[in-house]
Amino acid sequence: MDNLILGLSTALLPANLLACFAGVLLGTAIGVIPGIGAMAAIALILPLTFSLDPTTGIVMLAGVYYGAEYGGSTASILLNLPGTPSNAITCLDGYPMAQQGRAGVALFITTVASFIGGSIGIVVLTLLTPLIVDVGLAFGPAEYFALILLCFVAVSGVGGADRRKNFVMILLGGLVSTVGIDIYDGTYRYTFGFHELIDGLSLVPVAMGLFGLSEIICSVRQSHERVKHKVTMRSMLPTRDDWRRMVWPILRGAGFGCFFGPLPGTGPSVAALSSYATERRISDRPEDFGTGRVEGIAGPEASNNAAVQTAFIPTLSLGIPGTPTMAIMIGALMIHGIVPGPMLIQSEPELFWGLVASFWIGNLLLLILNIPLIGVWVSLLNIPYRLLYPSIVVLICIGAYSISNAVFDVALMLLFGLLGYLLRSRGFALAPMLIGFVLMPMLEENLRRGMLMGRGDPVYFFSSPIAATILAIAALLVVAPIFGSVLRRRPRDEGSAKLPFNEDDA
Amino acid sequence: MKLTSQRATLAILASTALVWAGAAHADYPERPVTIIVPFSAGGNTDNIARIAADHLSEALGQSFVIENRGGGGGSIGAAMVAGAEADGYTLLFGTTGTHNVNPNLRDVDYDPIADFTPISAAVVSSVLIVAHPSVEATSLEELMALTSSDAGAAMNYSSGGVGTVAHVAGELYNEMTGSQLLHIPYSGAGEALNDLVAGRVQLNMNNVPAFLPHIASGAVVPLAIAADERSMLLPDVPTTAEAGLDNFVMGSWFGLLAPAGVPQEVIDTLHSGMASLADNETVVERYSAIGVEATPSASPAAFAQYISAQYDWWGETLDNPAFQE
Repeated sequence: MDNLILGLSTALLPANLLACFAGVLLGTAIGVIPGIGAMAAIALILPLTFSLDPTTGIVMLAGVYYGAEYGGSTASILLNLPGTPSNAITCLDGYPMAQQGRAGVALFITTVASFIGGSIGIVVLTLLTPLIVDVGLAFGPAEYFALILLCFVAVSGVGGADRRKNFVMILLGGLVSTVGIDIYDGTYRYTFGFHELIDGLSLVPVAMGLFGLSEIICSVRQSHERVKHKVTMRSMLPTRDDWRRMVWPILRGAGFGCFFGPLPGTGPSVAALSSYATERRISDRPEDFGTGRVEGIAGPEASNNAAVQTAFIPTLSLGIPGTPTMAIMIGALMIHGIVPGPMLIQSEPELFWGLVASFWIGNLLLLILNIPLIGVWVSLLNIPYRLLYPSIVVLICIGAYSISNAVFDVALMLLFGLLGYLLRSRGFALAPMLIGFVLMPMLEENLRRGMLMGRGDPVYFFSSPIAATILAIAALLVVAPIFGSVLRRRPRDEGSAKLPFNEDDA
Repeated sequence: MKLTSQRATLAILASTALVWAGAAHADYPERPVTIIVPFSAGGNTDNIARIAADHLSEALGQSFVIENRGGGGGSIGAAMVAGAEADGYTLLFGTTGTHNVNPNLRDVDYDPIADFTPISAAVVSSVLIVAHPSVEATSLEELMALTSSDAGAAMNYSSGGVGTVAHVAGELYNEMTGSQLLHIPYSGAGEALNDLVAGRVQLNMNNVPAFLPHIASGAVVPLAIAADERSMLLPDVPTTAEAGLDNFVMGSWFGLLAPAGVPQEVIDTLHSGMASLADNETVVERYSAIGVEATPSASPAAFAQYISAQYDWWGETLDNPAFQE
């Protein structure tokens, strides 16, 4: 309690309050613009914070970081363009909702989900920091490998109706993700002599091209029945049924976020992916996912916002950055002479608790900031496509360019836009490709690292209780539906000799 | 951004108003200078470069602006500067990676020696050997005894990838001490930390900055520094020679280079700005906060000599089959 009071008294200092507001405002704006993620934004304003008091500076940088996660869902829903990588999954059900004229509702739900997810993340951050630190350290290559494998099993159902096509797309995503230097032996994979490809493809141009640009290309060929979007407050409020359906996904999503946030390397993207896969799996109508289900946006948005908050746990208490953005955050602290680590909470209580308190304030500010903005965003959709789309193409080109100030990334984005268009027109769903692209490198990296640490003995992956348990759950998920369908089908099989191949598509 | 450009405009106005037209380069720098950092913002190189740029802006009365052009392990930014106009307004913040490791390991689009005019180092950071507290060695001598025994074959060391300073240091250590530590690469030095702090990886040999917080907290134990002299940041840590391992001296440098053909007066002006790095209290303080010391070169020629000597040393060292594909 004393800590919280100390924190609030620090966070409510005018300078810190202003920094918090400026941070979340800038973060939301950056998040809305497709492609320009928190990392670019933080790198950009980092030099400005050098002249500020360390607490003020870090409060502002943190505000940009979690603010971007809030705003990121906006472009996903309105334009099928992920604002930040972890919002890509929100496209799947958010965009269909917008097409059905429910953009306002979708934005309202993601704002509420973001707020609740973020708040739960902060509670966990406040209360459980010492506990979660140990969880983070308990995860080595064996545990990560098991976890990623479980993710793969869980998301295997996401995508179109044709399972074989989905499988091909996961593999294609995985294949694309291998581009770049092999960190284990320095071999170049598919770089074709381009130095720009040595560090691999970054998620932003790939996701923006596949989802956003291909959508725009497709729209040129269709004559649209435009949905006229109403901008009344009433049309933005979720129905009673929406509320009922979003409660549990939000809570579960926040749980995934709190779990994945502190794990180095996974973070918000994997949290959102797991949340989506879980909602789809436990739903009684999984085939409806991808057509505008409330659960499909509420869960992931709660989870990525919870994850960005809990991502601060290892950063502050261990000095270990979970994501590149967090690495910049540590750099920002160190340049002020503050050393993140187990000693931070004792040696800099004002900074730590002030930062935590600023998260509370920032989340509240974001809620207040975002609800009125929904109307503005929705009315954007009433701009004629011939004006809206060219401006978006310009925006995503800027976004792609901003990653490393290189035209190469813009070309790459255009290439993936074309690829996305071709795949769509052949009936391939793009979500599995993104899943393969995100998860495959983690799977490979941890598998090979585990094999090294186990000196070539695969038993290494079963040697830790955590890894063994997760692998068992993954195996169960694979086996259970087979047994389930055998049991269910037995009485019917006697009557019909038909091959039941297509029945397990659900 | 706005602030910088305003300041830049003011500075340009001031310099054009005050300085009368003299010899062609006497006015340098008369407009903002761009320093290309060939890595992404917020990283180690970027932090070091930004502090140096702030100092240069102050010392030479002109804005020095950092531009991050990451990719290709630094090769893309370096190639850009190699091909830039030799007027002194586009400079490179080069590193051991861009000028000594990459050109020896793979094809790059520039000649690290012929395409550049070195100005001065900003920082030379030595390799520090650290161990997880579970390792039963309190000194480098004990560590060498442990790693060269059978128990050593079960131990790992980590790095941020093939051909990085940490990898080369580890293989060199193996060779010089007859050990068989296993190399576990990660996709960045930061990522390598988690398994080191958790003790799945027992050893790491890398530049000081990454470890500083973890040494302070006791999560890792520093055993020796691979330098000729002790570091001011860690005065209690012995050098490798003191601890019984001769000829194991290595580190990485971070410094300012211009494209080849930049007039000598310009190089001298820039060097004079860099030379005062170590005397500036703010710089010293900011550098020690991120775990490095300002070590400017005595002259541009001395820096050039240092780079080409390092180039040869790395060329020879990287000839080891462990670093080839």
